[in-house]
Amino acid sequence: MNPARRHRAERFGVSVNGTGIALLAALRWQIAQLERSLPQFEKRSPEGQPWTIGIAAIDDHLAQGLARHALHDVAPQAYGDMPAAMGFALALALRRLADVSERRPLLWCRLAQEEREYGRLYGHGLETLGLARSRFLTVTLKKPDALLWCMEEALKSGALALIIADADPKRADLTATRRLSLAAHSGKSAGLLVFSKPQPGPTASHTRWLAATSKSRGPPYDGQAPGDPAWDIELTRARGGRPGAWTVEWRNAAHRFDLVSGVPRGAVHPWTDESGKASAEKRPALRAG
Amino acid sequence: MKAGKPPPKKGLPFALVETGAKDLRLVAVNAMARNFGLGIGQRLADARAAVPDLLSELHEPELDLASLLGLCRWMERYSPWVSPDAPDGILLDATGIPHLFGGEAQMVAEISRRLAQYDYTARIAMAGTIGAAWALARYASHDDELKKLPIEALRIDGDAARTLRRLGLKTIGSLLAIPRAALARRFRGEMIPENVLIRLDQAMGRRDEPLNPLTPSASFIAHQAFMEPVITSEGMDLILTRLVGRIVCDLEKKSQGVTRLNLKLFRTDGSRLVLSASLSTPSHEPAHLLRLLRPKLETIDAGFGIDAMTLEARETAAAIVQQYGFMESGNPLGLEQLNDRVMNRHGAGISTLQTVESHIPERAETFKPQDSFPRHGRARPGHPLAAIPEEDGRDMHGHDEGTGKSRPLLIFNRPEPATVIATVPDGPPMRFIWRRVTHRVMRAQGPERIAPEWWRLDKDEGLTRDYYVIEDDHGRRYWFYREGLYGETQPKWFIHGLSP
Repeated sequence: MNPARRHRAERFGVSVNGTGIALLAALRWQIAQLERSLPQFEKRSPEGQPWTIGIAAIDDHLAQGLARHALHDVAPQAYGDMPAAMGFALALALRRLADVSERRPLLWCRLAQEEREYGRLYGHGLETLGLARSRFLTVTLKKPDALLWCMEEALKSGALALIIADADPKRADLTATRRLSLAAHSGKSAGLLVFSKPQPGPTASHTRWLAATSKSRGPPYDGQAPGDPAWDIELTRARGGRPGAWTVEWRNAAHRFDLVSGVPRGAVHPWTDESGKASAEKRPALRAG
Repeated sequence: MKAGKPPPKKGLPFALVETGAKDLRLVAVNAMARNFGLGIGQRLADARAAVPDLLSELHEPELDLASLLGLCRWMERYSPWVSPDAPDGILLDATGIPHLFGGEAQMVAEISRRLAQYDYTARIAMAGTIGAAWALARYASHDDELKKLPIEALRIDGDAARTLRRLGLKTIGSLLAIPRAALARRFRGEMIPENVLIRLDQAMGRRDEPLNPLTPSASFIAHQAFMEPVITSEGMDLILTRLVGRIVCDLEKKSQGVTRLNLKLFRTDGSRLVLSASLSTPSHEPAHLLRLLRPKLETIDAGFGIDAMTLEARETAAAIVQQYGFMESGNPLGLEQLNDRVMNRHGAGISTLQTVESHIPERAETFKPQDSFPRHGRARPGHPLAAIPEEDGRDMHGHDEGTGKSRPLLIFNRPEPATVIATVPDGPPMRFIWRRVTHRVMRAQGPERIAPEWWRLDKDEGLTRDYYVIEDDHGRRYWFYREGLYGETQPKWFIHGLSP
């Protein structure tokens, strides 16, 4: 060590015993002592909040909420349920991002073919569901293998709270998801795979969900309008938990799931009665467009 | 330096011919043909008469130029400052280089040895000015002085040379002996080759002559030549690591970060490969640079081996010196580096969604590629992350909560047509066919009328749209619109988006 540095160090009351590493460790320890007495260090818990669904009936089935540094996956129940699966994945992600000690953003990796099939993510729609645009990042890749690579790199980088990715059931197999799982653990990020087709094969995910759309209840002030989105969800696999099935509603405004017990069935269109026939006197001229 | 065209067969007289005004004339001959007394400008018929077994090919100047440029690029292993001097020369700025080869003579010997390996006949000269080197390479026989060379060695055009010869001035030395004023009066051409004085001054170093390099020189370069060609990827990786280490060391001293890197690989067969990597934020972190270059290096075809590698920082900028958090772990530039890796490997960048002031839904936002990202854990004022909504309502509810507008999660780039049965004039759909499946509508909300933006100048603005949020009998949500109004046109229905 050069004499000037030694002198400087000694002035601060650090005993210098030769190596620079020891000096550095000593300084670190000193600063840690100073900072421990500052209020913000006491307030912030290093663990953060657990990642739960927020409904006791469902959280009972999970071990201790969803694992925050692990891989989870959501699959649609049928072909048309893809938006529901994506919406449910986003809702889960929002539950995670609600943790105030988590300030990292969210990355959604899209596959070009899925964007053609179901459309691209729309920022105003994400905001409608409750995701702030400023925390949203996206990337579109052409090949499923490239997407898996990208997700793994993103998980490992540790710069993101959560990575949602479109998954091709053929590529996201047991080996691939095992890799992602390890990456999630090392980067302290969560991964959420959204399968593009129903009935994917086995994966190494911590929890596996099935999602389908459910009829919405409609807002109280307008009998005909669609209400908050509702989904039939099924927990098919949970490490340390047990499976179950529920119908939930996502409250856009409150970032909260609500359990739905029963939804009225049948048509509520203004000019269609319960049997599906249009009532004669109220019915205006129909025209095909 | 003068490079001829490699002959197709050694030991046979060969010439390149060009169609002249009346007949074919020789434009280049090989050594064998020259021994037979053939020369440039001779008619092919005459040459054939003198040498019956003369082989000839039509001269293709573009191919000549292409191969000259190829050779130029290969020459970059000797100097970063290389310029082609068409049709048959290459200029190298060797400032500060010869000592690496053990001296000027050794450097010249090395270059001519390598060129001879590729069957190039080359004449190489090294001098203090471009003009002098040009003259010596083309006209000097052995240890000639510049003064003794003929005046044509000055790169002057034919007319000027003829005039000088008529005046009895045959060597550069004789030209130097006469007063400058006389030369300036006599040759006052605008063009440099006509102006003997300018050429003379350039050769003598009294006038500066810029050299335009083929590739602009980089300010940070690390070069490594090997004793034996390297083929294995482990070997190349080792050298890459060393080169990155060296360039990073230079960058750090100047507190610069690189934003564009070029890795030049010189194959033993004289060809050259260039791998390049771009970075969104200037960086001098060796691990990051290595992670960008390694995947590219793995995919190359080394051919018969690589015998030299050059790493250049093509674009640099002041580095962002990021202090690691004392109590935090993790890399503060993690997102930028992730973006670089995805970008370099798959050509897709991480982007954010940016709102655009427009009523037309598909125009209301764009993907904005990011080159810097908010630091997690410490948002700075003015940074996107600083605007993380606290529980204040507006952002949490989506910005349209107040107006009652709802937007779909997914939007089609091209709205998909659907067959719809609806009430006129502006009722919501009751039944629709989309992707060959019939859906019954259970709930509907609308219309939300969006008129075309008349202030735009393009004519094809479309018609008024009425948007509806539709829920079918499975609870699935669709975002419909009807283009046009009943009564005015025959309206068409489209699905613009899907909601969960």
